[in-house]
Amino acid sequence: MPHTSKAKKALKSCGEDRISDLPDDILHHVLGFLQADEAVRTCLLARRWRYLWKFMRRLRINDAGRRGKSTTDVFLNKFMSYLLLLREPGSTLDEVEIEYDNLIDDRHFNYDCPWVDIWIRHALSCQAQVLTVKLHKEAHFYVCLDAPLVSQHLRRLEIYEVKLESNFLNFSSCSALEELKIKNCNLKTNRILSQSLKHLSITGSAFLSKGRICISVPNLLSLQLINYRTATPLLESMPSLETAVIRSDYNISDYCHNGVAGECCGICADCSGNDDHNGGCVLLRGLSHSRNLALIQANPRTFTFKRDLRWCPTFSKLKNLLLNDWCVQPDLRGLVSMLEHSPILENLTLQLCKQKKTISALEVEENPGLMEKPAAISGYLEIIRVKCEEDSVSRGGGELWADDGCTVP
Amino acid sequence: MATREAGKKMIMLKSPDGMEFEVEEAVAMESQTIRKMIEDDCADTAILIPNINSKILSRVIEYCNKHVPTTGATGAAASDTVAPAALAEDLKIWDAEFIKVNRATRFDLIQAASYLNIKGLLDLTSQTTIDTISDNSLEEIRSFLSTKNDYLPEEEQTIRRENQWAFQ
Repeated sequence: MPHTSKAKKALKSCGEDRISDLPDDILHHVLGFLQADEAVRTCLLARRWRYLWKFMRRLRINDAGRRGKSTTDVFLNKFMSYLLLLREPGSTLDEVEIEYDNLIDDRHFNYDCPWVDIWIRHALSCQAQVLTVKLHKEAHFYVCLDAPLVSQHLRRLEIYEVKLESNFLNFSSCSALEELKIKNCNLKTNRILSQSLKHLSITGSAFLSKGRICISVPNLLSLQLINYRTATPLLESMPSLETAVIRSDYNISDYCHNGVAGECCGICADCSGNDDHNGGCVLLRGLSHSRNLALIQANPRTFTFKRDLRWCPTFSKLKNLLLNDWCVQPDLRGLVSMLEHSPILENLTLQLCKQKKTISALEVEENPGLMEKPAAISGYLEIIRVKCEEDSVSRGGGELWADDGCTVP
Repeated sequence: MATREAGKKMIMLKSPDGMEFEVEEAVAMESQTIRKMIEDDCADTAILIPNINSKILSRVIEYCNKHVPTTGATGAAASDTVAPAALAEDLKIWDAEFIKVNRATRFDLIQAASYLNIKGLLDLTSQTTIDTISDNSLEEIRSFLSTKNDYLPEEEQTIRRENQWAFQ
């Protein structure tokens, strides 16, 4: 029979095909490095490969291989349904990565949107430890996640361009979650809550709830809050915090409308902190245990840091501190206050912008008031770096204007 | 045999072809399989690593040596935020050199990484295998993997239809 002879021939040739000789569980792992659609297509390679994709431990779904083909929400929903429902029921997933940058928004035709919520839930039911969802720009207007997640396995979660509402950011039921990264999302929720979280990064996102969002992550080691929009979040205590970077470039709500000449007035209700929570620290108290701290603010009229200085906590572990213009404008009070409350500070970096700040930097040396009370300033302070940027917009590439190891007595 | 050298605990690994490798316990514990043996106190004498010949085992140890976290007494305190990124970049370059091996060796490494449960090495070998077949047609993949198509034409049609959703 032609069938058997063919089968025999195939069997014979198996000797030279080493990858097919690998045990199933290794092939399940290897396949996970392919794009999901490519991985499914390996079912046509040979009998050995027919069902292997159903056990893949990692799903990488993205539009990298779809150049020139149109991808709509409908397509993606259909693809995901087939992929998830036709996998072997009960087989474990380690990692799921959904990354669709160029999805065509065709809501006007089908009133639908990507069913991200059900994909995430399904992944978690398969014990996924790492989850990444990166959608196209604008998706955060209509793709919404609102119910809290439940998983004992989820370790890392990354979400880009999605609207996060209600209790979604309550991770009380994700006991293994250690890393959370949120980028370009709209957060309409009152609280980020997790006992297990160690690394939190929120970038380019807007906090849209009434009042300040409260970040309650007591076991955090590193925090990044970068270019958030609207009101600064209220940070609760984080005793293990090592490194925090707070950078606000376009802060709208924490903005003084009474200020003149680009400064905040310092006396209005907003500036004096007399708003929603009765005048206490918003950010700084939560950051007071950090070892490395960067506080950067592009617009000197936003009072995010300055208002907190009225209740400035002691940064008892702080060794490395980076500040920019806000601390020397209009006077040095910001800088002095930070220094006075950092008893063991070793390195201070001032990232100043050239024109106005040269004067301020000179003032540091000339201002006798500052030098008169060296006792209040850390005796450990060894290095002060002043970096001067060409203009206030460029960042990162600022030239090193002065780098002297001047020692404070 | 477990010995002590300069305060570091050493572990003896033995390949089936009779070679012995003395490695630091921390290095050996990059392998979750060996870690478990050590933690279960099964590692007092030499550990025999079945199915992995000395050539492959020495490469695996080389990998573990490079990837063992440098949490020395000074290391943890001295290095601050900048160091890990540079270190990761350095490791990436090293990995790329390390995996420049022929196909047979790579398959042996995959199997060794899987048996010894060394996630980093398993990912590296898997990714390298996938990089060579990604973006190719089925025919090209078959020829690269020297896999023979053992489907009957009509079978192939059925399977293609069954998974049509992944061919769009």
